[in-house]
Amino acid sequence: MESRLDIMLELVELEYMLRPVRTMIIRDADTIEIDGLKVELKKGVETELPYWLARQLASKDMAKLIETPISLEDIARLHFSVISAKTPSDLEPLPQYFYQEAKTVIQDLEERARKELNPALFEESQKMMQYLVDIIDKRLTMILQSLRSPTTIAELSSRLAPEEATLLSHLNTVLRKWKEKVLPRHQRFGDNDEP
Amino acid sequence: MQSMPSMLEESVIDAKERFFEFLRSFRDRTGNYKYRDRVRQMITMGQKSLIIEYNDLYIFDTKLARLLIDMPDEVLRQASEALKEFVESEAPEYAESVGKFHVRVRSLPRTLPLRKLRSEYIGKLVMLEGILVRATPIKEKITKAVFIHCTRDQGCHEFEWPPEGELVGETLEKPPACPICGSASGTFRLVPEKSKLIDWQRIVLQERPEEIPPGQLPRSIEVVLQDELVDSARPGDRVTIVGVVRVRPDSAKRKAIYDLYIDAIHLEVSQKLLEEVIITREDEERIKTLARDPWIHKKIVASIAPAIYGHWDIKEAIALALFGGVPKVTPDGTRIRGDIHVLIVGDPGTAKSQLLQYVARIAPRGIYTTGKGATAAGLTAAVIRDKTTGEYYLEAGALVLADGGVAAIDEIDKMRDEDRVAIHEAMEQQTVSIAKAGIVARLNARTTVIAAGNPKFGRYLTNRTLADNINLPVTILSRFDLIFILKDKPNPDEDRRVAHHILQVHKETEKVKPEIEPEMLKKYISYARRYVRPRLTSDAIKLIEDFYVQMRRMSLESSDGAIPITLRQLEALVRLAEAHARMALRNEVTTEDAEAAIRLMKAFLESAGLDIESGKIDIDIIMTGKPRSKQEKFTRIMEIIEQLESESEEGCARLRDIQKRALSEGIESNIVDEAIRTMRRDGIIYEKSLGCYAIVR
Repeated sequence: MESRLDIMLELVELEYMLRPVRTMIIRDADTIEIDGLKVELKKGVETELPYWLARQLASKDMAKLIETPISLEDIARLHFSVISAKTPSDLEPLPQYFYQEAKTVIQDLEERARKELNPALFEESQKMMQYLVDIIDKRLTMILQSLRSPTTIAELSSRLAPEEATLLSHLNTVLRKWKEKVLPRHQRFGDNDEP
Repeated sequence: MQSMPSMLEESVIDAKERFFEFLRSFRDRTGNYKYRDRVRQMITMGQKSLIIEYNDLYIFDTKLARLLIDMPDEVLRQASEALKEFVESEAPEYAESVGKFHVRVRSLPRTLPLRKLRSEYIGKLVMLEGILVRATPIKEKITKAVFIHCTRDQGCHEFEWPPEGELVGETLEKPPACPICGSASGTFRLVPEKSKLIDWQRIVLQERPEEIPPGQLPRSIEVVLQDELVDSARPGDRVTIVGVVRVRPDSAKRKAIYDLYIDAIHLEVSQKLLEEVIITREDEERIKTLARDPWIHKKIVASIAPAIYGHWDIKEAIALALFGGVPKVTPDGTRIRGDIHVLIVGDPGTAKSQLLQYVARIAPRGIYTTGKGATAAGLTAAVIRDKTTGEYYLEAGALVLADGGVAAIDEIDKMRDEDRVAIHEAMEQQTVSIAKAGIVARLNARTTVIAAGNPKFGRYLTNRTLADNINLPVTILSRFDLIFILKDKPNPDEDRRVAHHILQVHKETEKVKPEIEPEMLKKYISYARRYVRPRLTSDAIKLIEDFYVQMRRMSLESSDGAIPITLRQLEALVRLAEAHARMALRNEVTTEDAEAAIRLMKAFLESAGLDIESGKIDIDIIMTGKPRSKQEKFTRIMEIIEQLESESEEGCARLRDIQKRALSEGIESNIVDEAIRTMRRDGIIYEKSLGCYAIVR
């Protein structure tokens, strides 16, 4: 059975896939209808489509996404600011859909590197991956640190990505349950814990 | 924690090698060797500085880039050596001819707010943004001194100080002993002509007005510019500076107290006016949706100071000034301003200041100040002597600091005399020129002026002209595109409505909601000013042209020949129409825009340009301070004085006779008194003997 954490993470991914993106149609084709949504495929038309559909059309060379995907330079800048943070209060919010976007970009780059046999692209994806791992490590450390105090949790939660907030809430619940099991009843809810 | 020396040993040891490798092998997205090309360009251009993007170094070698932030002096020294080595491999003669190469770093990933600059950053590399408010003239600083050491036994000999590999720091100290003979006795004399000197300049960087928390003083920091960086920015420029944070004693007496300053390694002048307001994609969508609303003009005007009841024309004028017309530069280099200047003259308690404060809040780059000005530089600019160092600084005033934005000036009638002179240039040519204490400069002041002033006599006297009512010279008045007069006249119906509105505001403050939120309106204005450049359509041109000609024709038809409108107002009409089009994000000025501009211009002329005697619109009231009807009477009085002077034996005209003859021509005595007062003040006539006047020839 799927855990609550899995479901929440899937929901975040679903939101990412359904978000509207500006798309340019680059080839004429018949109008398509998906789940009540009619899309006129006329060359030169700029329209807003759900991300999953825009990607599908792009993979068939029928459309082009107008938004610029996250780049190595963007991730490097974020890496700098995340690594510079000393305490949870220094942590800055990540751009919207950061994890989803970074994952997609890295996967796309790896695929292109394999297809084109281009070592520069492979190196770029490796570097991006390394930055992403560093960012995750650092932010996870901060999240784990914050679990020790509810005030820090409150302060931090507004700056977390949905994936991180889900994890934090999950860990918090697990810890509370764990305390309920191992501590005698009158000790369970200390100053820092809510009943 | 790791100690500094161990960090150095572990990491900096190969900094030179790594940096050399970075220059040699870094490729950009297109696969080009970015820095190999830049070094070659540097050699070709005969420069000695290489600018590198911090992010490029970060991607190439994260560790080295982080070390650059923590230990910039050491890393930059090694980077400079690596660059020299690299140049030697490319152009050995050029490398030899240049003593030291500089590596300049731009675009750090994070900008440190000036307010957060603390001791923890000493010795670190930081990036700061702000406005350059002061700058000293360029000076020369010794980096390698040449001394002559003379003793009785050994004679005189020259040597360089400090020794090889070191440079002169903040202060130049006399060598403790001669490195040649080892003797500490004898005389040491500095030879400036033989010493190595570099250009040096000190500037002051101040927080941007929009970053200052409400009720706080702006923070500033001194920045030292050396070599190629000197004179690369002027006071009033918005700059981004990358530099090393250093300390120096704040005065000789208190040696334990130190001041922070920045030793700049890179300076960039921000070219992007209005880009401080961040507009996201969602904002852009909302802006475009708002612009499609047919009531957008009304909505914008209604969003300006909604707590203030009425004053629709003034609010519309302010809205148009916030959007502004399109500045133009003709092929011959003449610049026509796009900024719309608005003046509000009004009785006390008519919400002038509140309107201005609201303007400063919603205007991108908005500054609120009073006529007296907050700093010694006042409204324009000043040359100031620093009390501690005795150095002369050029300091920018409010109009220069608000370059590209809006200056809301309250109590403009109380501005300093120096500003009265300089504001003429600032409002029309949009520059501020200064030449004092050896500092000659011209600063940009492309600023919209929205000002308010109080009547000279406490209340606005309707039986006097505008120029009589406000303590401002007509030359300044004529530079305003629109002038509005706020009279506090009792009117039972209107008073009840205003009172009801104000009491409602007090009762339910939350109900005073603008149609468009101030933050959104700021973004909307910013977007319009950035991307919309309306052009006049032929229909709009015809409408404005017809209005102008028709108004001028009135002067021919009337007996007194009062001129209701001049070319200045024609240009103002164009600006107003363009601003009206910008409000709806239209790239074309339509007849609707021209009509709105004409309506507002008429409202202005009827309120400020009305000749109370003749009851007609006369622009001379604003342009010269006197309506045409009065001007003619003054001229006639002068002729009478001239006639009487030639007729009398004394060679002057008696006041009694002047009054008598003037009265026979229908000119009242009070006008004669006023004319004589004015002509005496202007040096046209003089009092030859008591009560007897003659023309100055």
